[in-house]
Amino acid sequence: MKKRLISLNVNDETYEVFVNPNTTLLKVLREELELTGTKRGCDEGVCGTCTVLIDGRPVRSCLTLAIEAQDRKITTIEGLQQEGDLTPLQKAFLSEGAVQCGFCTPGMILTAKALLDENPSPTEEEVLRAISGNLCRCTGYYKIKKAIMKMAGG
Amino acid sequence: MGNHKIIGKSIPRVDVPLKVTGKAYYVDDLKLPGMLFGKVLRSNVPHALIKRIDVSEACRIPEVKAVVTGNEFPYRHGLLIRDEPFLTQDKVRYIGEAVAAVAATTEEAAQKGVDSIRVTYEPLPPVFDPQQAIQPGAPLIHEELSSYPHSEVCQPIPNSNTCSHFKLRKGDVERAFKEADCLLENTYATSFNQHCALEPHAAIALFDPSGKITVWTGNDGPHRCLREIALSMSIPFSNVRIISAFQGGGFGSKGGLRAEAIAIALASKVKNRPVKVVYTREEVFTSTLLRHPVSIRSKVGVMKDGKIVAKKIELFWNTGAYGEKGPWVCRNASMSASGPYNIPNVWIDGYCIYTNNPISGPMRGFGVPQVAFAYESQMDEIAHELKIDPLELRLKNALDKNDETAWGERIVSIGLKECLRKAAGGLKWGEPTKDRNRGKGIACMQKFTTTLQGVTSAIVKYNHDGSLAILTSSMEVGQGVMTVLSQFASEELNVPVEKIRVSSADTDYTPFDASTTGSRSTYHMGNAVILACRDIKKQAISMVSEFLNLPKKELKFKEGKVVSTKGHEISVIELINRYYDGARGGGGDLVGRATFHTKSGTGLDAETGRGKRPAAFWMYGAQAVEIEVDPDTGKVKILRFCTAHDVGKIINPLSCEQQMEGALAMGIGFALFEKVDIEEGQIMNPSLESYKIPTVYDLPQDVSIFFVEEPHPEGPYGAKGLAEPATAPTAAAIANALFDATGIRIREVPLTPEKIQAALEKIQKYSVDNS
Repeated sequence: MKKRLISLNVNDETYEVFVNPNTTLLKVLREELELTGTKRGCDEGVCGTCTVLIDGRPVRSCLTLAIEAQDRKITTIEGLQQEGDLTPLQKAFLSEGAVQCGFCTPGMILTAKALLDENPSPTEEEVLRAISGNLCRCTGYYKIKKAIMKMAGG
Repeated sequence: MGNHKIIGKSIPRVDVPLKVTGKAYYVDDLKLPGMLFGKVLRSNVPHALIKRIDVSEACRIPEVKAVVTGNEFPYRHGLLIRDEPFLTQDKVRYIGEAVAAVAATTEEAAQKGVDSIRVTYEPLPPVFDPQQAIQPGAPLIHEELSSYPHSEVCQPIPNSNTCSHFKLRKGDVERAFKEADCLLENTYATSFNQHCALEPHAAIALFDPSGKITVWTGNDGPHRCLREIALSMSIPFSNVRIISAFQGGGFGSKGGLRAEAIAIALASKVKNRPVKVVYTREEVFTSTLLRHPVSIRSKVGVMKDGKIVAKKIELFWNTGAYGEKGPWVCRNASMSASGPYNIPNVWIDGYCIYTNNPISGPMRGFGVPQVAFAYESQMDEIAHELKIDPLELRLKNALDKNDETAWGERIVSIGLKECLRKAAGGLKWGEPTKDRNRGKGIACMQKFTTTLQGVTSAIVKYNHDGSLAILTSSMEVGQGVMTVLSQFASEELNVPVEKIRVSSADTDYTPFDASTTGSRSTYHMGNAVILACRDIKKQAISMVSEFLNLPKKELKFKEGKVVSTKGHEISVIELINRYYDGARGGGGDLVGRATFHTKSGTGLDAETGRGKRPAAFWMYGAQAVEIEVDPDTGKVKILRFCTAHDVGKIINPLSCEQQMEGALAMGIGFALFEKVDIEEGQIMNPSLESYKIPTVYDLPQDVSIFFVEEPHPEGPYGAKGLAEPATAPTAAAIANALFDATGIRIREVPLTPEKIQAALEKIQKYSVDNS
């Protein structure tokens, strides 16, 4: 397999990386770009801990090839903070107690961000649907829902 | 107890800013210079002798730097019984056992190396069912059982598959059965579960030229992990260092040596290069730990008025191929298997049994969810038989303060009855349900934290700018320990939480702690931190006494200052600077240290299971649930859940709620659908796709949480633990509600739609046949 040079736009920065055509975006983010906020939980697209945004939409980076993500806008958890301040969504996760072990948190926050960017005032049902593909073993999801509903004005 | 500045307040958690920004580091996020990646070849047969391992092809791969087999690293480990090889030697005992491992410069090359290894096995007859495994003539899984070093917690029976036998004897059960008005005998069973912490197990190990082994891990007992490694390899404790990263959930699965064992074995072969081992999700299922399935036979004798007079219980714990913490789970949970009730005659036999299944160990509740399912299901069977309300029956038999338990302990703090009343009240117990397919159920529980793991030390450093550092080996496993410890120190020394930093565990620098398990950290480490803060106060008073030339009895510590009866007032910052002449640019600190351990703690007598103080504290809780059953599909819908727990004292309400909600979610998975499906030792569903854990859609949205604060005399500000209890009564509460709704009694969890539907069909057929 021949490695290719590709260009990735991650958190508004451009990176040039040599990758195998079958290398996942998750692996490139974590190992090449050292953006380890994106987590590897199952490597088969089930748990949601590897969720990143591509052009604003949540995707499983463990099921996405790095070469497919070229010329698209990738956002990871490291791209959220502006000038060192937590975003309101991050603050809501903090104040509402939506975080325990923290392993699902980056994927949850990015999934919530995608929802809220598209639909700033989702209903509870829409929030549940949005996070139904992200697993959490610590919280029972109650305070995650509450944090997102807080952003939705609920 | 009032007037606290920060105890009892929902301050935001101090670990969370790192976690919402992706900057909390877990083991797999670490990258060290020269680091290699390890992969494991695992057994695909349940029981066999290894005749030959051919690694020659793997060694020829240029990126491969080491291959290791059990015979090259011939050590055994095990906290309670030293039965488990780092990599197996000569024999495999379960599918998924590590046979050989490869370290290479990339993960892919290591996997290629693993795939090229050839192993020749000579199959042995396997045994999977624990009750078959203890029959005479069953294949022996550990022929050398009698030679393994083991702790007193583990009572193995040589030349058998009984890894441990726990006994409890109180009163005369047979006589009481004769005198009882009513006898009931039932068998209950639970299934294999997996913890499914979202972070897979991972470890990095390094052997350095000085002979020291350093392991980076999210292990829940850093000092326990150190001890297990050092004892296994017969090396000094000072030659092992455990550096902790954040743990992405463990729930009991990250306590022993799992990925650590492989990383250490590989690192021994490539001295001076760190080796990282990260398990795949499939390996997490096959080769870490499961929750024990237990078969529980329980006979109970009751008087007409509902008073329980005797219980005889046999428990068969399927512990799989190695002991791990199985003997302890068997002991602690079997011991409490008669329930939180005042019963004069109790006989319990708990058998922890080796089989050729993957290893079972502790999982949130340490065996109590299994035994609570049995004793609380049986309580409702008694209530039904005697036509007594299930809540009333429980209140009639529930333990009270100063009652003597089955194991002979006098209970010092218990809020059980209030929990039962609150949970029931929240559900409007006694009011009929609205629909014929709806029903209500209630259940309660008891669980202890053992005194055997009681020792806990802490260091608190008061810096000369007024900030604090807490050095602790408590692990932040997601439960919020860093925040709670900050609150204790803040309250004691009047330092704002923003000026307090809590260390992560590093066994070279942070003092001994038994482990972060069993809901013990708030109580144990909380006490240690408080005592270390009080050590600072004591030192401050001595220092002021010395340089102001005042007797100590005229000085006291108040709101961060030393004050005298004569009106002197000196802050700790000022004190440090004056005492150490800091004005000339020096500096200094005040270092408080303390060790906390449970006073008058005891073990349990090997023959009778009796002990005066085996528990540091007991936790109690109750849950009430209303469900609706779909008669066509057998699916259970939870309409409302009320959960009430005696936490002693709430230190941080938000954190308490977090624990209740998470434990409840895990209890619902245990009750309704979680089952690791094992056929002939092979896990059929080793993925998060085929083994279902609750998603947001599987959980009720109508949940009420109630806290009861019955203070513990030794607890920090009265606090007890609370991480595990809410997992325990859930399954029985739902099974009891199912009975209330439909009249069907299912005695095996999970309560799947298939089982419920089959039972409903049977009833319908019966009623048609009889009409």
